[in-house]
Amino acid sequence: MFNPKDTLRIGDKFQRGNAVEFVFNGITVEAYEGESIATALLAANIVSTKFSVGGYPRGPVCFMGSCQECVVRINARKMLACQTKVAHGLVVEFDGPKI
Amino acid sequence: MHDEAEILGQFDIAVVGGGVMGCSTALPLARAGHKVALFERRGLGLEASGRNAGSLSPMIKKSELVAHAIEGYRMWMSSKDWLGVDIGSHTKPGLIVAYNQMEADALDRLVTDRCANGAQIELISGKKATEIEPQLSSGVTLAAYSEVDGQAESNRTGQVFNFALNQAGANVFGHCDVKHVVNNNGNYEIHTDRGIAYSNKIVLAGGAWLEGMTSWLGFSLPVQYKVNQMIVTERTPELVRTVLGVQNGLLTLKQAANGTIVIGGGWQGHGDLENGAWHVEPEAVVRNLQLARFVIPQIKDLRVVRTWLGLEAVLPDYLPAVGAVPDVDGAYVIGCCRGGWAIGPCLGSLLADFILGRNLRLPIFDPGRKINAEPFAAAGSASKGM
Ligand SMILES: Cc1cc2nc3c(=O)[nH]c(=O)nc-3n(C[C@H](O)[C@H](O)[C@H](O)COP(=O)(O)OP(=O)(O)OC[C@H]3O[C@@H](n4cnc5c(N)ncnc54)[C@H](O)[C@@H]3O)c2cc1C
Ligand code: FES
Repeated sequence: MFNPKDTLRIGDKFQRGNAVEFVFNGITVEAYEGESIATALLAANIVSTKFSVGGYPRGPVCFMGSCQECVVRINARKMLACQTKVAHGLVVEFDGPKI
Repeated sequence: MHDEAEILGQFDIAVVGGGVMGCSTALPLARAGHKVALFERRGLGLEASGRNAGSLSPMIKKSELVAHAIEGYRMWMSSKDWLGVDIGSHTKPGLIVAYNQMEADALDRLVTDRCANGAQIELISGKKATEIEPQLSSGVTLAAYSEVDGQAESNRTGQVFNFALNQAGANVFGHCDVKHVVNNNGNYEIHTDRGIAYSNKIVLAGGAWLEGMTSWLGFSLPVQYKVNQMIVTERTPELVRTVLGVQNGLLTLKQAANGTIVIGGGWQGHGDLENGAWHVEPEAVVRNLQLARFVIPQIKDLRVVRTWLGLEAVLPDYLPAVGAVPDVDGAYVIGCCRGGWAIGPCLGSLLADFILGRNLRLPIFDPGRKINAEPFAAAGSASKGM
């Protein structure tokens, strides 16, 4: 399990939302309400969130809804991880060809 | 803008319009040693010729155009040989599917007719079609299959012709809007927003804007235009192997080399001659996608990344105009060809041969003929007025 305290988040000057847990590809990830899935994954050191058509690892680049590299599946729908907020119990799967 | 009009030069042949038709005509003329000027209001290949779907499909062309389409197909497949640069073309089988008896009968008639005109098409069962295109939905009763098909990267039209025309020594005037043309007894005065050019001969190749151009010379080609809409999805691993269409003409679909799926079928958006094609009709996008999903169910899983549109010029009889302007010496027209991107290189080279007084290997299409409306409007027009 990833501990958000050991991650890239800046110190405690920042007022965060409640701690939540969601699942990415079977891995439980801790995050705070208000964070995007892409941010929470990055903070948990998960940088590759899908595979390209050519089979290469890909992950969030722009964090602002433009590059489309952060597409994940939530309830079988393709969603942008950087434009979707975390929620407790959310199940997120990676997208792309199974390799 | 100009107090005294700048003189742009004296030319043997001036071509107005830098789409596939104008460029394909200008190129062989320049190569034959003539001083050629090409005037394009925007950039080369930015209108229909750079916005089309890049399907080559000789089998869906009108019977009068099958031979031209096969030649056009071969030319795009070997573009490096005659353009000096490869546009990016891909051979893939063509498949047209029918889902009921009425469509099957129509497909049968189409194949018989096109084969009589030199096309190589086979009628195959729905089962066989599914072997060729495994993701095809069930329910196909009959399909037409042709190995002479493919797609090319038509968005690169301007780029490849720019290269070839420069190599051939043609004078390309980009961003040069021709306002009108005066016929001065054998020397044409071409008035543009950048100055005046003179030319002994003139070729009008203005796509959807051709009617206005012919009126400069006192002729009126009854050009109509469609505002065709296209859709492209995100990239996906191989899903569709053929250049796929349905018999009713409302769907064309293929997977580009980069993995995206390009979807069209003559669905109409909004546009006009003054503003160009400018507004996508969402309802038509949805219906086009529904049809695409019906034919290839897995498409439902793909996101649309872009839609766009362009003006496609046609004449009421759905045959092109390629030849001399009636009763005007040294003036020619080329355009209004359905599937004109695929056929353009062939028609351009034929018109160049005609202008140079060479023998023609295939017929051209007299712009002065009596143009009657075709009794059975092409299938795509069913979507008109969306
Ligand atoms: C969305 C769409 C999909 C299509 N799909 C296919 C397909 O899959 N396969 C196929 O074979 N065909 C297809 N077509 C048809 C094909 O694109 C056209 O038949 C072909 O490109 C027409 O070429 P053109 O040179 O006559 O016209 P255009 O490419 O439109 O060129 C005309 C040029 O004239 C210029 N011009 C106009 N007025 C002036 C002026 N006053 N002065 C200077 N320049 C001027 C314009 O700027 C333009 O560049 C499609 C068309 C559209 C719109
Ligand atoms: S990270 Fe670029 S769109 Fe989400």
